[in-house]
Amino acid sequence: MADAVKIKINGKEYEAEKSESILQVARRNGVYIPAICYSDRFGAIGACRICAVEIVGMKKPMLSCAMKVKDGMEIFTDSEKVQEFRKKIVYEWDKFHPLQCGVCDKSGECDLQDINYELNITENPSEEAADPLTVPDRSIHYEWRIIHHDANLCIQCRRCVTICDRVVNFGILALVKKDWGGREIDTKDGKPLECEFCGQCVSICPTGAMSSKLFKYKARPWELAKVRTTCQFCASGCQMDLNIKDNAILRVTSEDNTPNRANLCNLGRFNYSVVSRKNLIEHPTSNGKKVSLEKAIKEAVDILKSCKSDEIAAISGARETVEEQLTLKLFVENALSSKNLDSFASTHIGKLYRVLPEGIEPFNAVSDMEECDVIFAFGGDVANEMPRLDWQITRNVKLLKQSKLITAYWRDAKIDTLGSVALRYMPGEEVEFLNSLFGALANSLGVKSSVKGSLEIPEDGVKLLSEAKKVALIVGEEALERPYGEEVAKALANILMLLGEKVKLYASSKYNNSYGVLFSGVADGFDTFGRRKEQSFSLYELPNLVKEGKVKSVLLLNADLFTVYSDEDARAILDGASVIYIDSYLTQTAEHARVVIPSAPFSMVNGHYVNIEGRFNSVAKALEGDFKPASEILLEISNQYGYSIPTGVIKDAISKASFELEGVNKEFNNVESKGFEFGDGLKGVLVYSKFRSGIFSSFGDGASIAMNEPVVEVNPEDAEENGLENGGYATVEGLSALKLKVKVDEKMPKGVISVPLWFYGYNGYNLSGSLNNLFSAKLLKGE
Amino acid sequence: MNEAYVTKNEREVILNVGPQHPATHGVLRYVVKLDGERIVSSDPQVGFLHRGIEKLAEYMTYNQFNPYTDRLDYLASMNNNLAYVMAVEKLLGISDKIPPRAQYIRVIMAELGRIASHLVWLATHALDIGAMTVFLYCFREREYIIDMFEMACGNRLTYNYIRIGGVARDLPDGFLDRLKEFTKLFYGKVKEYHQLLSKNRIWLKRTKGVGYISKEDAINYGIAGPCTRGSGVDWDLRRDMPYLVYPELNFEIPVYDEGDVYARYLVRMEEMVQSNRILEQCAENIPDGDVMVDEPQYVWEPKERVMTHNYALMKHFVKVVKGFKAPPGEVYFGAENPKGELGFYIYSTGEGKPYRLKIRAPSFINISAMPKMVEGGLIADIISVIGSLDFVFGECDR
Ligand code: SF4
Ligand code: SF4
Ligand code: SF4
Ligand code: FES
Repeated sequence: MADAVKIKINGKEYEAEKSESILQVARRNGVYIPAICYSDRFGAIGACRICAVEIVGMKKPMLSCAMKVKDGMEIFTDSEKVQEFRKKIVYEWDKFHPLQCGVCDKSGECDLQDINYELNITENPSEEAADPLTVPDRSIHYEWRIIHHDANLCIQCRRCVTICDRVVNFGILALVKKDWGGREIDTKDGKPLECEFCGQCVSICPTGAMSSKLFKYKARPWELAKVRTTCQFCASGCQMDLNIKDNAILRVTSEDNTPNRANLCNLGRFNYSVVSRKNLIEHPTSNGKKVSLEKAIKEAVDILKSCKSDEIAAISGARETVEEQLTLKLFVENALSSKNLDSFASTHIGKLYRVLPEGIEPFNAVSDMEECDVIFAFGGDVANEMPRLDWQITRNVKLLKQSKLITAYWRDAKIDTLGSVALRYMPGEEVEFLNSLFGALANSLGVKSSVKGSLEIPEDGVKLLSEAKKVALIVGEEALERPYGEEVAKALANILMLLGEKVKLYASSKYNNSYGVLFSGVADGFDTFGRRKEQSFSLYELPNLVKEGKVKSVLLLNADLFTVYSDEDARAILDGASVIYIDSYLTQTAEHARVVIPSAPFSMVNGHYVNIEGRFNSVAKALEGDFKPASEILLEISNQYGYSIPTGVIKDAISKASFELEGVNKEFNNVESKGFEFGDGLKGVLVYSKFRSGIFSSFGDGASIAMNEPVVEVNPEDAEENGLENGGYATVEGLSALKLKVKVDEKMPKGVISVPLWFYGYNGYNLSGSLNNLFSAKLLKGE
Repeated sequence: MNEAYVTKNEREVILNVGPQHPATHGVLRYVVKLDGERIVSSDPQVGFLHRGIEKLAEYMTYNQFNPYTDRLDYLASMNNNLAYVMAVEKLLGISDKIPPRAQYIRVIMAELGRIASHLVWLATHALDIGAMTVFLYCFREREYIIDMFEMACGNRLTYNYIRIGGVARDLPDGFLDRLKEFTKLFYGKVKEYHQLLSKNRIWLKRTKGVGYISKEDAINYGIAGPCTRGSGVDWDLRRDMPYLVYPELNFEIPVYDEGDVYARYLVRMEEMVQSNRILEQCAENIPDGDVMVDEPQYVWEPKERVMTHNYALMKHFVKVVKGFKAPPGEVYFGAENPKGELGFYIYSTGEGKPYRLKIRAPSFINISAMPKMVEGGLIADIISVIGSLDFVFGECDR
């Protein structure tokens, strides 16, 4: 150890590093010190003081969570003196604490209860001051959404404030002075909570003061069985525990020892009700009529048999387990002998991984971002696309203060509040920007290349990038989903190649198993294990192929067409081809498909999701239900088709759990300088909301209560020019028109408006056309 | 492989007794190799009633596990409670703080339990050998005791009354009067049993010289309780490793040297008398006072405190939900139960649940000496030896 010191705790000697706190050393060695405000998730706060220890030579007990070790330090963790000191703190907490454990949600897992037990509090000298039966007279924030705050139960440890600030980087909470003379936790501006509704504060609160309204009064913690699984809402692959009682998910929690450090976003933590019965397809249908499963399967087989193999196409929605994807792959390739297989993953990461340069590590652990001194986030609002990346960036920049941040996007986004070198371009200029950056970077690195762009790249960004030891390159889904996403990918590949070994790549994806799609070879251009193969069919062509009558039957696995196509195209496919739809959720596609077969949803099926790190995370069956997993349905269809799928092959592939995806490009790509021709109106961009991941996600309470309707974001000047007000309504015109609520945001560049994707009934692609996220827009005052 | 399963010549026959057999006292499968009616060798097979009780303990708070001990030797539930609870108290370091009244109550329950258990032993032992009347007599008196248990805790089977720190509540009104009535009457009853059996020729033929085990073997096999005391081992935990208020009480430890079924019979018969003496003294001397120790870290606090003081309420939740935190360490405590030494070994890592809990079950150990006792004997001896070993499968198989 570089800065090794020796300290004594309770008479025993331990080795430690100078940078460690006493608490850290003690915990590492299994010596117990109580700590309430400290958390590994954000470090020391120094608010609760319960972690005080006696240090020889110091008069007062010192806070072990904040105090760094020094050589020769002698520490006592539970001398009488510190126990007395701790007791006094607990007396203060207890003094005004209501007698509510009987109805409190936290009861049974409450740190305040625990510390009272641990110190065996049997009296309270100041208890006369307040009768616990009558004390509750502080604020209770009934008006907040999703999160409930009862200041009476609060011990003012400031964990909620700290996690909101240092981990979530939202910072809306504070200890605020109140009329009654004391302080309470409240929003900084005193208005009802309006935030990311991630519930990180709920997860960290040691008492019942911060609780979840969705869980309130539903169950006691000890009645819940916890089932570890993987989140189904984005490719971060956060590990979480479904808390089950009576065959229902009542809440979602996560543990400190998960790779995501117990962090979850709104969707992961609160959107569990998406799997409740009312959102699920109840029974198989054929032509809209209820039929038995056998009948539906027979119909499906008949439809498929009536078509030639090249008249059939199959699409995966990148949400199902790897097991299901591999089954689909084997079925389509071997039973149907069709090459027409693709997945929603091809709309973004597929494009990038097809042109991955040789020698670039395709997957990196998110926590390894900590090795990077520079983080370069390009092409999307990372915080909305993948909250886990946002937390990691925040950790690097704000908490550990060891990375510099460069953002390249068309607007200031949340991560820019961390302090960033902001490189800006206009929507549509992505390729031009990347080429320009490449040129500047190549120049500064002394690499010869003819690739150049016309944009001016600020020097500090180029300097940071070229001098960085390790760069985390974060690629936004939004940029890759541009209609010219392939060129964006190529331009990115050039930069990757330029940075070479010092780059760590992270490509965000809203689809939880889009990386599984690459592994199972369901995406165009990929074979099993992520091996590369010739491209043969793209979902971009599907609407036309159907319209031209070349594709007559479409098999959809979790692929809700309205997630990527405009209403017009989706309907054209549904009307023009015989669509067989296997999914769990009652999407619009389920309403119109020819044959609909319900499959077991997340939480009712075992399997694996592959995340952005290339990790195979297991998904566990936590609820009983009478649904069959999609893999079994496909097996059955395949059997009737006369081909029995070798399930052993699938098992073997998954037990290997490693990619054979290698970069191929050895030379810099020639990138066509493609962009988007906007008309003379506004530049319209479709963006991702933090509260959505696919349209189905809007069925859950967490997402829908947090954000129940889409808003169009407009620059103040544009708003004024068009006579729009914040909170009013506007009609947004693109290829067609949508009436949307207006949010005036000064961070929006002038001349650009953004509309979020994936709200039930508001299909953003109606504005831009399928598989495109840019459009020429007009704004008209609504109402 | 055990030689009981392999015949060496055509004279030898292998016979399964049980596990479904009325005289095996539960689910014992006893495999015997016979040469004619002579037992060449034999092997007891246990485990048919295995419920994984030791493993279950690792998933329960210390208080939650208490009722599970009822289901070990279900003929002496409170004796099991006692042994378990005393082991936990030893771990918590509160053994000498148990209020005297609670100690007396515990002794009363333990000795009543011993008599009740011995009555079932005698009833079934005699029944197996063909003496029906004894059965009826014994159950008549046992009923008396069960009524008392019901008074104290509400149950007539799996009676659970002894708690960590004391007993669940004070004795109900009238209990001690009932007890005195019983002790007065019981001496005469034991005499009746003696009249029926002790000089009965058939009884003597079936028990004397049958199922012999020497003192040395008894010690080597580690068998315990009345079974060893029938082979001349003068050892009783109540006197030799005393606990509760036993040192304050006068009683004798009956010991016989013959080592056969009859000797074990006499030991138990006299033990009932001694227990009755203990009960008499307890009924006389029991002091007034608390029946639960005042250690709020480990025992429930009075409801009144819990409902008015937040710290008491908070602690109550911790104790109920997570269990009280026992200090880390390991303890063993063995109690003199009707069947022998019932011991609990607890390994604690400082959590609310035991890390490991091991039960020394006398029934299990006593059965292991059976092949030794019946070797060379007649097949019919098995029945009388089973009776004399007095095992219960709830405890043996755990
Ligand atoms: S916060 Fe804790 S101590 Fe307070 S009422 Fe809730 S469970 Fe009880
Ligand atoms: S609400 Fe909870 S986390 Fe926040 S200060 Fe109060 S007790 Fe601490
Ligand atoms: S949606 Fe993504 S970031 Fe949010 S909890 Fe789920 S996996 Fe984690
Ligand atoms: S844990 Fe150190 S002050 Fe709270």
